[in-house]
Amino acid sequence: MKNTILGLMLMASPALASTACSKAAAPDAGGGPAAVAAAAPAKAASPTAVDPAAEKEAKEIFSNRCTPCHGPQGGGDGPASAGFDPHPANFNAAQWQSSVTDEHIEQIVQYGGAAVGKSAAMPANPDLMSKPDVVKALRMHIRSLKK
Amino acid sequence: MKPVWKALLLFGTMFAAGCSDAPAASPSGGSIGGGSSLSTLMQARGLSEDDVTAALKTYTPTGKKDEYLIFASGGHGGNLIVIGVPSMRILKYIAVFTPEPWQGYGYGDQTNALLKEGSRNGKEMTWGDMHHPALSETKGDYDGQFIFVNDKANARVAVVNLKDFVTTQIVTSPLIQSEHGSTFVTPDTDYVIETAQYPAPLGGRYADVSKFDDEYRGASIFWKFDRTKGRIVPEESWAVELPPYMQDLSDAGKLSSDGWAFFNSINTERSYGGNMEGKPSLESGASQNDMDYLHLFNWKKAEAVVKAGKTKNIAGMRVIPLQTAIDEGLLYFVPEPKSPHGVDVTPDGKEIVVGGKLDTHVTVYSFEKIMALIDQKKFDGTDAYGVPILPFQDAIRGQCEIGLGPLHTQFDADGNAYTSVFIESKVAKWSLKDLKVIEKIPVHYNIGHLLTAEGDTVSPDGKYLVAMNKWAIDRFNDVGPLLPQNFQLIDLATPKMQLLYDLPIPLGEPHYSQMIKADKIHAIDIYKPAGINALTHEKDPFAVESGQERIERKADGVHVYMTAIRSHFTPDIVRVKEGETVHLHITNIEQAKDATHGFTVGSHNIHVSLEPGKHSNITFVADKPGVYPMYCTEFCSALHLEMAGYFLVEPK
Repeated sequence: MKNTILGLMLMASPALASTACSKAAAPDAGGGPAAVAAAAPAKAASPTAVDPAAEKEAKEIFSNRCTPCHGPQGGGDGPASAGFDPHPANFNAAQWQSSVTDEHIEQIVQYGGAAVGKSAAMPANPDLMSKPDVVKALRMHIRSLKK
Repeated sequence: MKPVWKALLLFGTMFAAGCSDAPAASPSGGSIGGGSSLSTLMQARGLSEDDVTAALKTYTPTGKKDEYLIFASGGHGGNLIVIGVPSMRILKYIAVFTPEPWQGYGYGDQTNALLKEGSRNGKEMTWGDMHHPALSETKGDYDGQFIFVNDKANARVAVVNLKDFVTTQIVTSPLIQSEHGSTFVTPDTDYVIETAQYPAPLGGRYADVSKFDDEYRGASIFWKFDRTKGRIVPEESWAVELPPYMQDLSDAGKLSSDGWAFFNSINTERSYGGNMEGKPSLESGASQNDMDYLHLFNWKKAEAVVKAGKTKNIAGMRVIPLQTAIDEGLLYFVPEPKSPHGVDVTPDGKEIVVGGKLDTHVTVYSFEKIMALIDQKKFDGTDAYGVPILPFQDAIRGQCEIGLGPLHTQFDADGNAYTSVFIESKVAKWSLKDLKVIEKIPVHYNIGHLLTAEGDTVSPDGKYLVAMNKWAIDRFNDVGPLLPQNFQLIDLATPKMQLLYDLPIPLGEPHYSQMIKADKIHAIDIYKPAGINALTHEKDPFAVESGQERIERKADGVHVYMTAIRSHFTPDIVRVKEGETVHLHITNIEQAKDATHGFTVGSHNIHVSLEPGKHSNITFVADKPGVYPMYCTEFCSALHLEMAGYFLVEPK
């Protein structure tokens, strides 16, 4: 499963590049992962700097969408976490933090668990595919929860 | 007007050049409305060139009609929605499974009786979960005569006559308790297929869910349709018992694969939940195996097996037992990855496309290879119930890497396929020949079904595609936490797919739709002669002619024979005694297009729609003495308010 998905991600980039000239799609690009990265090269170059507005939006999104399962402090202990097998990831765990790349976190936030070979119960957030700054801020917030 | 056209031509040229990064050019000289130029309007509204072409491709001036009609499931509304393409104007809600006041559906005798036909266990269902409409077909092509719809929650199928866009029949069988692979028609509409979803003991028996493997079963019902009568004939219908694998979608073979039907399945694990009983929830239990089974069912041969009497009667339905289906060579499996969703037969009937859902591919099965494997009896053993399993690699032509969450596939006239990609929120266009993705377009958001013009027939038009998105998130003004769904119209006629229009659909889960060329529909506009019962399309036995209006007292109550014409009911005063049963027989004797009257008696929960020439009957008990206005509820004329009268209930 993992391999096919990696293959897909690789394959996705040329295909997307060939569609990149569509102006209509630009405001809500929603392209694949490669397109998202390409759409914001300047910002991606600085992995720690983030726009305050994006940071604010990311925190709101975290508390609305992520905490029911992952918990307010990211301990994987949200009120809805009990019913899941596998359990939601515990962002506090140093072991989990070192086991995943930044790219993995940004992928799973946008495309859900199925995209990275994890549980399909982690849903996609399709409206964030056009908001790379917010995705980055979410990833940074998740990183900051390491204990 | 001339300068405007010049401006538009300029746009056209820019498009041909494509890929321009330059800001919108401002063609000058155009004037619209109060003298503002096109470019000023564009600037003021923040519109791009693409927005303007999208508007030009969809805007339909008053009096102009649409090229295609969509028949869309009305989801939880239990009704059917008719939408024009490319304008995306909503033309009608057709009442089917639920009461609908405009059409007086469920507020008069004929439609009450119809809704009662759809009762389950003697209980009248007042909601439905409509999923998949199926237009009637002749030789695999839409013929515009009927449309069938299903109710997943209550396992019902309804027939809608497109002569007047009215529901005429609802059938249901206690054999199954829910369904999803429904409705799909065989290429000449001999049968309407209804395949169960959640396995249960057949016929409504009780058995604890721990006996899932032995007592729980799937089934597919083949409802026999009589085109000349316009009705499903339950006595000539039959079903086949299936293993409890949670059969999902269905499709009927066509042309070379005619005579076969295909059902996919999502739970060959036979998981049944139990997350408080130490078992995995269904979502994880059903997703363990890498492969589920595509079911291959020979319904033509099954028809002969039914005729030969090799069936068991379960809850009034003739059912081919699973073992008989195996012994007679009716049922085979071929593996399909992984918890798949859509199963769609290609226009030439030669291949079957299955969307992987939890796999990134669509898998393209070759019907010819499948037939050869069955002929050679080349099986990879059987499943737990003895159904032969065909070897996966030998049954497929190949797979196309689509993306995350491929669901449903439709086709165009040029050999392209279009698959909805749920997790990525995209539509993928791919080449059937090369099995390669050509282009993807983002949609907003979480696309379920998609449809192209006549896209599941033997001769798809393509041209337009509609993405049926489950979520709207940020697309529309906020209207509280319950958001509309989003139908997005996409142009397929240009080299690159272009998103043209967002149509919010304000009801739950309108799953699937079909798009038919509008000129295939030949609907009447007046019931002729006056006095027609819309359910039978024949003159109602109680029809009333002008001059024959009367009130008669009979053993079964008071019969009021009434006519309606602009702008009066005759009689306009009705006197009954407290406790009497009242039978109102009302004919709209108008024969003018759109001269519809409505009729109500206040405080009695009565309402009927009387289109020109239509006859309705209403029965009720006048149990509360008093004075009740009755009036026409449609604004029919300048003297509409005067089209009223008194219904007087005298105390005992």
